[in-house]
Amino acid sequence: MNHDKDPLLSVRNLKVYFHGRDDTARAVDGVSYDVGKGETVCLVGESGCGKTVSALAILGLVPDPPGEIVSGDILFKGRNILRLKEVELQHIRGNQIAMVFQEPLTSLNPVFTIGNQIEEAIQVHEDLESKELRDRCIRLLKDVGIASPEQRLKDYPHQLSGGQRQRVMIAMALACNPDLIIADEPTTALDVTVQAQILNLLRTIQQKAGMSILYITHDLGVVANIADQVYVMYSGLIAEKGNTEQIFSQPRHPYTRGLLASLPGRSSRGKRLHSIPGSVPNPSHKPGGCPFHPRCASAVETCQSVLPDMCDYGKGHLSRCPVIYDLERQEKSREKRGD
Amino acid sequence: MTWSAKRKAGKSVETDRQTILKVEDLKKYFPVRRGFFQKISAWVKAVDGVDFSIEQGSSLGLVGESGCGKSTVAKVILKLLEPEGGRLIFKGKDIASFSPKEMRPLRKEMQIIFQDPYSSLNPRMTIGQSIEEGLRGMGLTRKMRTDRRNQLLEMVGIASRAADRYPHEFSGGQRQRVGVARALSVDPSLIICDEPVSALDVSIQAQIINLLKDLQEQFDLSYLFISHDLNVVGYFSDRIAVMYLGRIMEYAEADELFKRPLHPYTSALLSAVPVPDPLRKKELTSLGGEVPSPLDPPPGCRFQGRCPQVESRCRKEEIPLFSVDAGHLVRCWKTTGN
Repeated sequence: MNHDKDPLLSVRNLKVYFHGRDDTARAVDGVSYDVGKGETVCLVGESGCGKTVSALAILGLVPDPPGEIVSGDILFKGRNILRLKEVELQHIRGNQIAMVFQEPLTSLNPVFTIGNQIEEAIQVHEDLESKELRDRCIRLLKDVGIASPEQRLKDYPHQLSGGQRQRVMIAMALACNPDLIIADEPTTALDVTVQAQILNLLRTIQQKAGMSILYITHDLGVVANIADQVYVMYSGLIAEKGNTEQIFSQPRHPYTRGLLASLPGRSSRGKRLHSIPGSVPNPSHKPGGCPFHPRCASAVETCQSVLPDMCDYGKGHLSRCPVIYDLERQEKSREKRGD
Repeated sequence: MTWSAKRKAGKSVETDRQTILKVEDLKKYFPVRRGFFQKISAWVKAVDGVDFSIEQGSSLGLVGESGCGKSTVAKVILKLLEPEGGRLIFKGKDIASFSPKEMRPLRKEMQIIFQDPYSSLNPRMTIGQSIEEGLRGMGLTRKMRTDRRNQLLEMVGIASRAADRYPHEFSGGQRQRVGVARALSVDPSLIICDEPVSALDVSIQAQIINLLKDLQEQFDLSYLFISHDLNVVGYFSDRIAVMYLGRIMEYAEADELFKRPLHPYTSALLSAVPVPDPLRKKELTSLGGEVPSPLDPPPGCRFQGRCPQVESRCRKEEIPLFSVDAGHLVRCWKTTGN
């Protein structure tokens, strides 16, 4: 929540492309975001907008080939991660930055016990005796709210439920007291009641340990509940950035507005849902100019040719739509003249 | 053209809303077999006494967490699975014991739209072929089939010249539109939507929901709308049934259910849904534990293990559905004052 100091993580103008045989998919096309100390930052966007790829780049997990980090910097505690050697990166990965994936069943190894896997996560970074190791595992499982952790250590992933598996994943992520946890849709595969448990768990852990969370999701309900800062992504770009209140109460980008308006709910019963026409562009064949212009109701002619810059609304609220920006400014000056 | 005209003429005769489907005490158990002789060692009671009814032209929402049996209900209604017991009254006929041959003429009355538009379309068939498949054997000429196909595609918002393309050429939202067109092809009166928008992005979800709503108005369709997303169900349905471990826990008008949830499980579900409004940000009330296995459930209330208000009698006696107001049914004694 403090912006006076350098942020813990700073992604600057990151571009990640995937080269196919015939074309190149520009998955992340110039993305910048910051994660401050103790902050929860949400990357929100629809499938294919590049939110996961940008997070994988932070951990050096973009497969190369076909992936390529074309340009940009990722500064973690002031060091550029992209320049680090693999060995140096290994000291950070899992130790200072940990990741929780969407589908715990595929990210846990089915032939090892839960205990084995958590121990392994610790041993990579720390040299502990077996007794200490076991105690640490038990404490971790207890911290994430797993009942009778001594027995669970001997269980295999298939013996646990979806929610418990995700708790184990979080325990593994916490194993080395990381400064930053990257959570990629950690609750998407879970039921709502279990999702609520996991979200509460993440919040308590964060308050206790003071770590930062980079939370990737497509669920605006979750965003409203946990985020301090929100970045709305569309087609490999940040469309809008602001704190939670700015994004939800005063969305400035037509895409953000469209997303919020298209959420079904009880209050909109009987009314027709607002829907954004068309679909998300293919990252290999993006439209020129603003990538949102074919679906945008406010688009003008320049939107088709010029990629707009971020417009500053003050207090850290940025939006990549000059059309709305100009409209609002005109309205304001008209109001002034009216006074 | 002729199809919809015929349909509308038929509709105008009926003045009241009729019950199109009535489900009574529906049961579906799956055996668990063990050992060399595959002896039945236990029963999974996936659906264990479910009652509800759907009126012509209305939508019933069926909500519940994974494993509560909501998709099994859908399959039993379509008779893709044989029910263990209970009655399925569709348009006045009890179809529960109908043979496949007897079901055949009814097949075109009931259709289903699946969750995953990627796996529910045959990748080797063009979308046109997929849609026309249901029309075969209905005594239509090729020309009539093609016309009908084109008409259906336009109806769901896909250009009819795309009929010769394959599913992989379409996005998720477009494929779901094809799924809708295929369901509509035989002019059904009841469509079961099994999580039709769960696999879609938010901006596409709204398009499909609007499409389903428009078609309902146009053709007087009835929907059984199955979803785990309370926001979607709350928007879409006229009535909602909340299911837990094979049983209906609460059954009410949608507005009533949201305003006055009476079952502890419904309240827990509602308060666990994150609201997209930071000003109403709250500690999400989380229910302890997870949905237990439906394998030989304990006697008494199915929700006893997670209920914050559980008492000793909940563990012993079976609880009936209590009627609170007209049309509001709850399977709990505490909150209904019994």
